[in-house]
Amino acid sequence: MENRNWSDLPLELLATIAESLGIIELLSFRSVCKDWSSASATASAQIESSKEAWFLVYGESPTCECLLVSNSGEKHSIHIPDLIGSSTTCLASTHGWLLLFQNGGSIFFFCPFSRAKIHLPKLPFSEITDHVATFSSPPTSENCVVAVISRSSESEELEVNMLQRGADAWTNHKTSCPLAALGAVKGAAFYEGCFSFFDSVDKLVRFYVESQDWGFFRLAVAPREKRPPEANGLEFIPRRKQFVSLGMDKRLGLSEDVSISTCGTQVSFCNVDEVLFCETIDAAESSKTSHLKGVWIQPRFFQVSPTQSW
Amino acid sequence: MSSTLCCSFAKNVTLRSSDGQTFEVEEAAAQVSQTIKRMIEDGCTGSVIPVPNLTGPVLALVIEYFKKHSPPSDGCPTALLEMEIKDWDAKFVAVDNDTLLDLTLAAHYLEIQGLLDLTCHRVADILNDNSVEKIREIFHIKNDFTPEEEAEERSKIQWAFE
Repeated sequence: MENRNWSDLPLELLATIAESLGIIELLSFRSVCKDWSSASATASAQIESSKEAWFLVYGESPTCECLLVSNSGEKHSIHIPDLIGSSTTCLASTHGWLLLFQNGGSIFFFCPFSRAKIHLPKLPFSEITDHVATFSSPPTSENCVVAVISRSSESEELEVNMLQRGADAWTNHKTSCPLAALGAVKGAAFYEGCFSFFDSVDKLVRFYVESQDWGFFRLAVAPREKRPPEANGLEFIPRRKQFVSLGMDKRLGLSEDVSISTCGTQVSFCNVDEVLFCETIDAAESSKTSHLKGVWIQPRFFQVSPTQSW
Repeated sequence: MSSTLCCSFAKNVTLRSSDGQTFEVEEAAAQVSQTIKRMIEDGCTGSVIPVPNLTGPVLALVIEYFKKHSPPSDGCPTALLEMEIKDWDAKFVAVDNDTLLDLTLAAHYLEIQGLLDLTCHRVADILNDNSVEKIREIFHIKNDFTPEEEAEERSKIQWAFE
């Protein structure tokens, strides 16, 4: 093993090392040299998917920077042009991908760390109000399905727009909701062929991909966060107030005149699935408020080829 | 008493490094390496198993790892033992960069997943603790990006290093 050198490591060994890295180490690894960069083509910081989510603040920002808070509380200022401005809203976040909606109806998957994008067919509406979405698997996987739920405030009618991988149009599914006093949808999850949507109290609406049937449930007891998911009759633990209970406003250093609305996520942490809900935190001082948007995110790094299409 | 009894039954194999040094080790311990395990199972080992990619000092280190990680002869490892092994592992890879490189290559060549995980973890720590320039210096790697390529990449990932 004379003259052995780190720059002569076999490509497959470099790839193995790259696969084992977390997001920050992977970014370092990629910028060392061209060999290391190409050896990490499929590395995606997989290890981060079993850890707690990070939080990203985006939207209108005087500095044109987003604010990223790691799960260990470190704050980073990060320049992501696609996430700056008031016209972009994150509808869903899971599997390390964000689903971004832009006023006008265009919608795309986005990985903020690699800047990879996958454009989807336009949604049949041009503005969002109380829409919440999620998707079944990474958008690069063959069986990915996206669902966006909304509810017209006048009627009790619920509407799901669903898109299967490769399809060129959304399918629209409407129903009148038999649940009395269903609140705004705040949580979304996918588990075994079924989308679950929660309101902020105790109601659950399910939409089954295969049969395109709806299911309506009132949870016997409002799910307790400290109980195992089975005890609630659910496959996951709902976290309704993650932002508030972690004191994220303090961590972010938000001033009193700032309101923030957050997009939730579905994560697997210590082998238990958790669903983080969307939250709206109003400003303490109501005069002259500025509004921020935030999203829980698993910091993964995905590269897609320029020809990658939905 | 039981340990002498155990040893008298244990079958040993001899490993020979690239520079001709030979080491005797229990067969069960050597089988921590999937490569050596296959060679033993295929019966193509003869009296001495050649390990041509490893020099004597590196093979000696790897054998230390084998011994620590050979399956216990009496059933399940206890939690205490697992903790002790974890401590030992951390110390084992707290080495200079040349040795870390040797161990990484050895783990790769001999297919020792546990050791490879350990060395990868150590590399991750180095990547985490240092600037890209410092990382290149530590690993003796030449920056072959053009200034334009580097500037473009850097603009996207600068946040991680502030």
